[in-house]
Amino acid sequence: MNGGDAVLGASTGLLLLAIFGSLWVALGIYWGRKAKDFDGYMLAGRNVGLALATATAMATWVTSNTIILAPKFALQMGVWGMLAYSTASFGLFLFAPLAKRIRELMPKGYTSGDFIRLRYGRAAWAVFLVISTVYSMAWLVSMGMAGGIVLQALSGIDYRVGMSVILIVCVLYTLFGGLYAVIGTDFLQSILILIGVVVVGAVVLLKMDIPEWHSTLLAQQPALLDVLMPVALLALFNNLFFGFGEVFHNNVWWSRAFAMRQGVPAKAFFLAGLFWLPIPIAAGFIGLCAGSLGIAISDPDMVGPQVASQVLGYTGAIVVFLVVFCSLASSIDSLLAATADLLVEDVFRKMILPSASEALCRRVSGMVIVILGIVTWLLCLPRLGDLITVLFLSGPLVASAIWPVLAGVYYRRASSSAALMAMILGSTVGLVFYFWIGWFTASLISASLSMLVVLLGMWITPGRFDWSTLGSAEEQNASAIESKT
Amino acid sequence: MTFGLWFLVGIIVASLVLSGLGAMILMILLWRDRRNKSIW
Repeated sequence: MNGGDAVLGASTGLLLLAIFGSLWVALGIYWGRKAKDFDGYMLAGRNVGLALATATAMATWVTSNTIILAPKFALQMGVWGMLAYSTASFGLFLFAPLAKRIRELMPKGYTSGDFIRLRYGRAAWAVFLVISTVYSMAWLVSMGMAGGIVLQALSGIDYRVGMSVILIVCVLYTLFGGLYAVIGTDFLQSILILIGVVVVGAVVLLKMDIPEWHSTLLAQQPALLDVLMPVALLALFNNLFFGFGEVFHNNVWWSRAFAMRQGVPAKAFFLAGLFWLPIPIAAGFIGLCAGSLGIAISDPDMVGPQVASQVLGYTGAIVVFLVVFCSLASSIDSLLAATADLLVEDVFRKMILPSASEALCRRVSGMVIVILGIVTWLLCLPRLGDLITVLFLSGPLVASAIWPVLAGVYYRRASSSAALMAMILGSTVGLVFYFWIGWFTASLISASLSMLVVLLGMWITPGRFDWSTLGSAEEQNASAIESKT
Repeated sequence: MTFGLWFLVGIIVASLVLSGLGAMILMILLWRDRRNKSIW
């Protein structure tokens, strides 16, 4: 399915892109007017309520990979494949108490990098910034590529055109509206995603002869219903740790915790996890239907859109198109904003120009958003590798950051040297396992090794961290920014 | 109907229902925040 047998015409696809792209940009500009200062632009005024907070956490976590890879997992690894993808929601559940603690420790905090620098020092901070930037770029590129591929498959729009339009739309509204625009559009996008997933899933389920479907699966692909399928079980635990690593370390989630009103973060992340949990199953099970429906799958990455288009026809293709567009936009905008925050706050303001005024920081933030968009576009252009390779390569890196973050937030005994070693060793050995055995072991090994190093460090070279330094340093930081306006 | 079939259909239907409920609850939360003037 490469666009030649697309259900929607290119003109319909371009019309949908134009309508929704213009809507997101217009709303981004409208909501962005609320951003009167740098805190407003970067953190939406630190006063986001429960509804928008829940929706933004959920929509950001629903990526095009969720919509595209969940059916592929089901196709290749059966029932446990889609359940494996669902375990990524545990990252949001476990981040709920963490977000509450972060908000208490750093009421004026800006980024996850700020925390690592104040908690573990500059060496660990540098490694953390490398991990976080590599992961954010991998996530951005995997979504840019997914956007181009899926839009081409559904509507026949050329890969480069679809990918470029999505990136331009997201860059524009993030640039004009900052986090206000990101969070506002995330709410509408989350509603569209949830409704779209339910509509497509329900229609496919109603069209299936369920007993016959089950007996066909049992007869033709019994491994897909095997609850002890080894690769699927490894994938389940690997995804679990990959999800923890992604959420615990990345500034996308930390910036949201800082943006939410006091008392909101724990509830918002818990509800977001709850609403996210069923999406990989609701979107993924249609991958299991391909064989029974007699649909020949030419590209496993396309099994979801292909089944939806065949079963629902033109309308189904429009719904899938919109769900994919929303899931892409809701994640790309968040990544652009949060990665720009990380680079402006941790690199520009901390390393290059500590005396930078608020107005200059905002201008630089805009420039960084545009540069990130251009770099992503350039990396997406050659269409290298498949979706899973691009994203899962960063799995061992982020999994190595789970324990340094977790121990750093809760235990004063967690030491800087152990955190540094945990991230370096976990990432290196995890990458070795990625290439030696397979992606489904990399995050598991990385997180386990990192845990061992952090726990040994707490026992052998315990630190005695003073929590109050986090709050006071951030208070000074925020005052410094305000005084330079 | 075997256990496997019940399990498969059960998790699919439950996931569809929970997703639909998610959208409804988000709308209700927004309405509540709007009434309390606490959206942002």
